[in-house]
Amino acid sequence: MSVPSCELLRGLEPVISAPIWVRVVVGKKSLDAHILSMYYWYIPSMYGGFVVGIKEGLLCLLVKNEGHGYQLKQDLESATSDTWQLNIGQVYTTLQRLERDGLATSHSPDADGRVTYSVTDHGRAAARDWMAQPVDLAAAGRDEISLKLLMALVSGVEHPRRVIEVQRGSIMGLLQDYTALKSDNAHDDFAWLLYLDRLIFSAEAELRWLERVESRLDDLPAFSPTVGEKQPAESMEVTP
Amino acid sequence: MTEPILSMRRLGKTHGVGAQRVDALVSVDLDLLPGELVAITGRSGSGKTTLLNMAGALDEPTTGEVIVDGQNLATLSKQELARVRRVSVGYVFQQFNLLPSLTAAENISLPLELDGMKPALARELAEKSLDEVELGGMADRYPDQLSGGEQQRVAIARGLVGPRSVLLADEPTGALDEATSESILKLIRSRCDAGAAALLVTHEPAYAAWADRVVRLRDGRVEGISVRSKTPSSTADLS
Repeated sequence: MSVPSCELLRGLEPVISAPIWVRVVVGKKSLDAHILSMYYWYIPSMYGGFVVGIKEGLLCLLVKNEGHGYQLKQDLESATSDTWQLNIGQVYTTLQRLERDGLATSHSPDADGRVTYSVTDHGRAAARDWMAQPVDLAAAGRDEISLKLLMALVSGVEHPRRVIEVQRGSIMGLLQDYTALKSDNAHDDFAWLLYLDRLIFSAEAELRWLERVESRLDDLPAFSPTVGEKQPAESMEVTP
Repeated sequence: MTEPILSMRRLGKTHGVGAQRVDALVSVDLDLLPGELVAITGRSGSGKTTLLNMAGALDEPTTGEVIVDGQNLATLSKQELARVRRVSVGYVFQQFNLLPSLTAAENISLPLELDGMKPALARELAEKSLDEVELGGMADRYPDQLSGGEQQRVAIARGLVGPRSVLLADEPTGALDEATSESILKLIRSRCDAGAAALLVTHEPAYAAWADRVVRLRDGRVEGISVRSKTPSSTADLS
């Protein structure tokens, strides 16, 4: 599956285990962001989401004006401040699928051989439906950092507080980098700031969540392992 | 190598004795270089404000030492400490702490005049400092004629006037809305980029994130430090 504009960069020295790296490109600027592995919901929204989004994006553009493939590709790229860079083949394939599903109709080729598409009533309704639906973030049930914390708690492999510290340090560093990028951004590029703010608020929410988990840990009577009789290793500093 | 402008060595603070003994701060080492913004973060009671107060000679450490501008605070007399507070370090608090009966410029020039500076020169420095926080036209306004954000800008101008180059800020955005808070942090950041140094106490991660280094305290100890990358990936591409 190809991912336009949002390049997956696997294997770039993971700070924490198995992060997903993405490069968000806006015009001449790029931001390497590692979408924390716990954000499995980012994968549908940023990975599959981009592919799904081509269909919805084209449909919305067609609601505004009819158009041919290359023109629609350019319109979509410009609407996203070049954050999305589309493969023309993907645009044509998507337009054909829109037609197959009755959301758009094609007209006979013009003198240059270009096929113009226009939206159907069904397509118009589908675009409105898409706008009306919230984006599904519910896939976050099983995520790595939660698992790691719970495993730390029951296995004694590492102190849960240490797991929190490491995670917090890593996210704080990201938050500092994002903030630096924001303060560097002299001109107001709406799309760029939109992505940056999204990353900043997500990181911030993550830190708040870790803070809350830490409080809950403090309220536990002890970090007593429930799997086997194994006690936490001696090197761990356990604060009752 | 650049000398730190503020240096804390094995700094400790203990309140009470025996069963009542509380270790507010335990052996903290921290250097602040010119041009650097360092954030101190942690929960309530983790020792953030204690650290800041000792950095600014408002409180004495139980153990360890604080060196400001090459002077070991422990070796200074009361008068000399008072001078450090007037001349070397500037404070910004959550409550802006401006004197209501003085204008913006007078609030800034007063500590300089108290230190023996000629009023005309103090006024000139105050105006320059107000310019730097983009309040050039408001020198003769009284605090109650300024918004909260503007008052905090005056406090920052006062904190970094003339010879002062270390700003100690304790939750400086606590009383401000989010957009104004961001503009205050941007200002502190830009003053540091221009060569000042600042120690910022905050419990808000998004505000701490403006710093070069974020030091997290827990129960009076440094739990972790996170450092900003020197070259965010976009900076090289900015035209």
